[in-house]
Amino acid sequence: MSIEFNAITKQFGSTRALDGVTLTLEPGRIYGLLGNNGAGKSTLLSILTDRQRPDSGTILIDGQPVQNNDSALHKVFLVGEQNFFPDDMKVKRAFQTMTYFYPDFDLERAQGLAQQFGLSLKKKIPALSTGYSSIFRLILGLSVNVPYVVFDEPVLGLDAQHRELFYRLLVERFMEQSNTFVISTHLIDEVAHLIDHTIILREGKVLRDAPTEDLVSTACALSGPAELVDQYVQGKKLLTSHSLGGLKTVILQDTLPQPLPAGLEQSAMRLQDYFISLQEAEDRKEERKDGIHGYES
Amino acid sequence: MVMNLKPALRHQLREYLIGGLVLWLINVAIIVLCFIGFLSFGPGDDGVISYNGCGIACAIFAFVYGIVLPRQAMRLCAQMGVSRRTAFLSLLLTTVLGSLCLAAATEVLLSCSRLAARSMHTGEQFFGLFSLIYPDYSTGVSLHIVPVLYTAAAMMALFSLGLFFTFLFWRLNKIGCIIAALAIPVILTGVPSLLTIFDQIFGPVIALFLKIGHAFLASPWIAMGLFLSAALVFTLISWLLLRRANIRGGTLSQK
Repeated sequence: MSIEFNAITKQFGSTRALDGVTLTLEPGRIYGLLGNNGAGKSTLLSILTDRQRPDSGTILIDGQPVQNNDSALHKVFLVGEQNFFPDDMKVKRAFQTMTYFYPDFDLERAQGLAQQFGLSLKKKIPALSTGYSSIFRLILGLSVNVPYVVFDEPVLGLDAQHRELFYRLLVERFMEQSNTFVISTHLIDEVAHLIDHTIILREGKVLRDAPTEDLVSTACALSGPAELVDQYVQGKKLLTSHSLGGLKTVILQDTLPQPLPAGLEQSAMRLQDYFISLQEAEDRKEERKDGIHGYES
Repeated sequence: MVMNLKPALRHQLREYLIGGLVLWLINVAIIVLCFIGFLSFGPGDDGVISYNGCGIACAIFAFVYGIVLPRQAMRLCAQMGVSRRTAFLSLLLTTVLGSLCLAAATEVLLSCSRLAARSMHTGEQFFGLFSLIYPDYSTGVSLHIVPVLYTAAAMMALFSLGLFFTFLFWRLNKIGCIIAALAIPVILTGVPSLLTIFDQIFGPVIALFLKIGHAFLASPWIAMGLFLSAALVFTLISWLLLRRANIRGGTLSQK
């Protein structure tokens, strides 16, 4: 019982959107799929639901390939950024249509959530504002009974109150049913406490794939006088560093022995800070590589 | 392998039949207006009023639906965990069932209109697609079955043509779309002209086309065969176009 991505590759013209992505999504977890713009998150999710075909590689859902396979595809519901409903369809009709395709779709719950979020059932889907369009899609994702529910940018255009409500409902749903949820988002801080496994994509490749706890516990932020910090981090795996006046803060992919020398201070690592540091470290690596190539050429 | 065909078919058939019902009601309204016009103002100079739009409207309806319905259906099915193969199959079944229903309903309407015209002794004439092309064809026992099958076959061919165009333009990028949009009329008008100009070279091709044309007009069964062959060819090409297409959604919000 899992979703397995095996060496998925997808190219758009000269851009390699996905480059040999290999992943496994286990059941009963909340995954966070993180990455900068253009990292390949949406492409990966489109391939998962057979909306796009990979150039190479396979995806298995509970051991079955997704391509032209209704029983595999029916186990995944993607709440994406685009509207896949007919332009003239009203919200109420969309909920009813869901019951044709998913007999387990909780229509009552959907109608209740619509009331809770203040979504009008009489409106046509394209006539909804960006926020309400997101709410409409979220309600579908929270009311459908399938083993894997994937949210791609779920809170796009949503106000803080509705975002909080969504996160709370998601956790409630997870506690009730233990479905697997995948959340692809840029709002890392907001979902950090929800996701128990983090996948970080960068330029079509998997940069990290580990339990969130492991990721943040194996990295730390260290600050103190610049000279002291520089001395202390020598030989350690440095992700990124920032200086302000005589003070320096570094992010290390390392655990530090305690106690620390006087003057140095270690602070807890947040997932968003870890993500940013990792991206900055990768940026530097690429800059160095480009520099070497430039010199060689 | 389990196919999730039923819900996809149910949704698409509903869409098709609602559209067909609206078209049918419009045809009813036109025929009623014809009667009112005849009874109020009498016949024209030639003593008859004829309406032959029913069958043609059905054919155009099928073509337009062939353009409109597939994208909508593929998107919805993609959202609902239905594979593109099942979605495509449901589209084809929708066409077959929907076309037969609409063709039958149109034949019923035409028959009732003719009956009414005869009983009211008005000079009105009502033609379907079949009676327009084969006015003297005697269908014997299957008086109404052949026109229904004929209209349905024509609708299937035109639906598949629409299907082909919609998937062709779905697959092409902007430049490809412009090239295709220019190429289609050029081919449609240019090929016959070329065949005529270079008739000595293309003599056998012209002869073949003429033979097909004669056969089409000589027998409705051959015509139906040609319609279904065209439907098969366009459907196959459409499937090849769809097989690896990226199914993209519409805009999130138009606001």
